[in-house]
Amino acid sequence: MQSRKLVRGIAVATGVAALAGFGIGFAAGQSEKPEDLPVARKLPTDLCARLGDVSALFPGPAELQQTGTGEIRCTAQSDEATQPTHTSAKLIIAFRTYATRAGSTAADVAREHFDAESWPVLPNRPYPTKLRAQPGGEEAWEIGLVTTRGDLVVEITYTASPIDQAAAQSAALSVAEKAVWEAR
Amino acid sequence: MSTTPEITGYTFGEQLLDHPLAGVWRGEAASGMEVVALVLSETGSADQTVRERLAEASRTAAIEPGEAEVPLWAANLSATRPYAITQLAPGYSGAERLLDPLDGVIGNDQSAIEEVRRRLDGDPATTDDHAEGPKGKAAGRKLWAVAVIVPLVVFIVAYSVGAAVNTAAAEPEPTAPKVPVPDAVQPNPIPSKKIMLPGIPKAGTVPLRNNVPQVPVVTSRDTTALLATQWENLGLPFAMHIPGKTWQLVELEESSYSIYRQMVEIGSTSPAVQVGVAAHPCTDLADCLADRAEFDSRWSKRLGGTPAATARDGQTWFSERAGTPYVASMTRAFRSPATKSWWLVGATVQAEAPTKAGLARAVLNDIRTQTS
Repeated sequence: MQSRKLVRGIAVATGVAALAGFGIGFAAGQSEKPEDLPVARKLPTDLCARLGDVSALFPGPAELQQTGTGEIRCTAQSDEATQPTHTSAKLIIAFRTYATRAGSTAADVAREHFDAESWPVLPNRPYPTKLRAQPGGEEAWEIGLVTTRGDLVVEITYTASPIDQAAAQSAALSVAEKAVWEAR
Repeated sequence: MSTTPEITGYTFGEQLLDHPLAGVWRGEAASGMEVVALVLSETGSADQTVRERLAEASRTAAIEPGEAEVPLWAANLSATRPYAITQLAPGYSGAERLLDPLDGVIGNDQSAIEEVRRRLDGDPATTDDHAEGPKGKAAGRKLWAVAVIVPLVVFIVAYSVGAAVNTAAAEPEPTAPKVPVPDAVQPNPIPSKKIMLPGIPKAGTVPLRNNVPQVPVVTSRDTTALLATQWENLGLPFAMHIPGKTWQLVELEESSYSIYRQMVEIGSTSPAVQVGVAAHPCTDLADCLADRAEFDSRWSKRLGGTPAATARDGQTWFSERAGTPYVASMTRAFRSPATKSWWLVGATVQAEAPTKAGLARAVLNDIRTQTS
């Protein structure tokens, strides 16, 4: 009889709807509210100024210029063309903070980014540090350095000529430690 | 279901009630009129009380029809299976009149009676087109609405439940990082003393010296005539000639000790002639002579080539190796009129093919001349 068929159809449709609803609902999960979404820690707007005077790393006076909001970059440069002698230097400090991710704390996420860098690890530092010194000639060096603490990753590139490798590395390391301290 | 009764002049289709004592059937008279028939079953026929009840009900319906009531149409109370038939007219209670006493006939079976009423009245699926009233249509729409709404509501509820179960089943967010975070340590101050080495002062633009005699350092029939282009902006304390505009200068670097330059031919994967030049500032000739050993070792390491070993004069040393490739080098101490200071200059030339050796010699001799 038609009404019986309809009732049976409703019952079947209801069953299918229940199963499909549960399945799709389970797969999708509960939607996140915008205020619950993880956000990376905001860094101070005067971060570069807080690092202090970096003129010692340059042939003449130098001031760090801050750019960026999500990733803050402090840049200072002494172009050889502006110098009376054959000297040039450039310093870039990049700060990035990371947000939590499903199953990972912000520190875990930052650590992943640190681990992704293939440079050799420099042991016996207060924070995990990787450093690469690339010669650009007799006394020209490019020091790449990455360090992490908590949700923060600091990356430093210091290029200078002429300079001793040891002096360049030690300067990059002291800038890195100061950077981590100011962005803690 | 019981066997469809066979009563002359009537055909029966749907059975509305199948009771142990009686059956109710819907059918048609030969004229096409719709009828309802109540037929006692074998058990009902055998029961005298039931027969009497049917006879009583039929009599009442036949003799005392009320207003808006369809009379009893036909009855046979003495047949093997006694029956009573009445017209089924929409809006008229014909069937009811047969059914009202039916409970008496079949022994107060109220649920069976209600079922018959329901099927006569409201179920659009069981009524014919002309018998389907507005009530039946409304009920049908209601059922279809239920068919849409119920699965939809169930889906929404099941979705929420699934989502909630997922969230509840999700692993709790970690509260501590996998690798412990080290304490921040008070950093040492960034050095305040300059850490870079002092750079060599720039020589600026140095003009070619055209008024000096050619002073060959290596024996060659080829002269500066081979070198068509003048080159003055080398960052070196002297200028020089090069073979043509296809040559370019590579500024290798300037250390605190020496300026390094390389000259290569553009677009050539294996350059026919390679030239390397180094220049180291010194305070005076004596200082230059004292620095020569270290300078030779440094520039030959940086540029490749053999340090100059044979003294040409008190300020000039050279080496030459004929063959393939042809290699020659020179170290010279000189006072640059442009910078007004003393310099040690190192130069190395290399020609891959013997045919290019003349060009290499000419370049080396030109550097010697320009550093007079």
